[in-house]
Amino acid sequence: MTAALLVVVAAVLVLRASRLARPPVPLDSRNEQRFYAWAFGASGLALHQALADKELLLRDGEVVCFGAEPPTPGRPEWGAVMASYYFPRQIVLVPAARESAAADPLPCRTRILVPPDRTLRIERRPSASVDRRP
Amino acid sequence: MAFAGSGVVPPPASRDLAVRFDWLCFAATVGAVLTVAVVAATGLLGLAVFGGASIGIAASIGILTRWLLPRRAWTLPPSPAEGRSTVLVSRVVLAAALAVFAWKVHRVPLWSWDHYSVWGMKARHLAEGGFLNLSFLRVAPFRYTNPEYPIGLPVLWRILTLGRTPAWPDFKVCHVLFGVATVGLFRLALRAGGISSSFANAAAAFVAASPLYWDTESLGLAEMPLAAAILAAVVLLLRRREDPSERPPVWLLGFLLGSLPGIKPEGLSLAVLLLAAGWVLGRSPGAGRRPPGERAVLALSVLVTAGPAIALDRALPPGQPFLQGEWMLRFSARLPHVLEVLRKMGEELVASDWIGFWPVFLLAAAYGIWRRDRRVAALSAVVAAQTALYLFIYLGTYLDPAAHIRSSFFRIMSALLPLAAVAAVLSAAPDARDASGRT
Repeated sequence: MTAALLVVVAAVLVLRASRLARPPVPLDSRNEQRFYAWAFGASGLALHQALADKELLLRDGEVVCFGAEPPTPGRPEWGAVMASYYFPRQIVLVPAARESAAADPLPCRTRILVPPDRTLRIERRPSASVDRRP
Repeated sequence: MAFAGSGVVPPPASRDLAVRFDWLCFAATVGAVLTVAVVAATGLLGLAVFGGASIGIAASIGILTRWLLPRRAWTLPPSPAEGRSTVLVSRVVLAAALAVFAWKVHRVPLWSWDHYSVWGMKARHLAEGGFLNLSFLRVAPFRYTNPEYPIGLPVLWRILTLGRTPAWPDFKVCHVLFGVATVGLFRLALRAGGISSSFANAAAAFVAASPLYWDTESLGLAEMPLAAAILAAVVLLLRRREDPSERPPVWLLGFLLGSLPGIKPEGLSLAVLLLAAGWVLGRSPGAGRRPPGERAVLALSVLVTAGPAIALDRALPPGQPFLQGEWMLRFSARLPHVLEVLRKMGEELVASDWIGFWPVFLLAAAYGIWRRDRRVAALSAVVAAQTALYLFIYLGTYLDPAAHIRSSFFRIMSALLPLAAVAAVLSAAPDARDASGRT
């Protein structure tokens, strides 16, 4: 029984290792086939990397509005979740909360924009001057 | 983590490298569970716990337990005689299986939606300047990302990064470490049940080639740590039965079982079922006389660990439980279609990714039960009852049952595979403690 089990496992491993050795990465298991494109494929590695890089450019506690254009159309929660994941030390206001954000005491002067080419851009507005006229 | 656990689980008497490696996996898992419990409890009191403090806590647990607890060497029943070349080949195949697993984890991105929305998200937010902070769970969008899920694994990730916000490489390294620990604990459980070294290695290699390892949806989620903690409890269950003269402490078993709800919500039902399995195993003819008060100690230690975890889950903002709303109406309406739901679940279990495991498990469990092997019967019953609980939830869920099965059943059953594999492999070995068993 031991020998038979070892032969089966070894055959599976040889097959998998040969596929791992050549690009692209084999994402052929059941749930990889089902959910990879849905959960990650549409956004892509480059966008995740760009989000991770932008964290370094933001200040702790900075209020950030995340992109006018949702990076994955049809998945409005994607931007909210990813921005919250990648900017844990910032306060993220997301498109769905924009209306309430207008009345929020926290000024949203920093915006992370997602242009169609998926290269993220940070825009910072200068502080608005206080109008003291009667 | 291994140092933290080494006081509770003293090093083995054997000089065999494989036994020492498996012991290291066991000590590290026990140490991780103990450290997370103390760090989380201390953090909830408002003290700084991450960074150097968490290392201090782990070291203190190791020193205190070494000082307070008796240090009797860990022993295993002698392995049946077999050829050295067979053992060597089986070790090579097991090492190759783990290498392929680590290689794939290295090459794939961290892609699972639940990592970003639940597990990884919590780990990246729950510490603030060394303090445990769960207030973020009350703010959008966290209200929609299962805020009620347990915090054990996110706290562990944060301990392992010394308080630093964990990133992709941290989650990947931790996943691989838990994968290696699961294999070590699996082998230890089989060795405690009297299985030969080479067969234990071959079965462990099979587990390392299963969807729990190969399907990277579970990368960055709690399935692998849950499987490791279940196996650590199973090692104690089997050792307590096989080795009446050197029983491991009953409070440790209770502590490990009580830690399961702190890893994943379904850990609660698994803890109760494994507790029942332990009761059945303890009543075997060959199990020996139990010390007085043992059950009380066991119940108390389960309560001490599971109680706060459950209370914390209740204190966190409610998420969207599958049985929310009029679940009984949904359950009654779907009950006549139970065969259709079972067919959908069955389709998931005969997928080629399992390499034929679940049908073999059914046959092995039936054979073990026919042979009146209590170990196989008890552990198979845990798997069956947990699967029945999943069926119950699919019948009452507010989601479409077919979509719910499709999105979760394959993954959650992958976490049960190592436990089911222990039962299946034990069916091949005679139960030394059960005189009534057929052979």
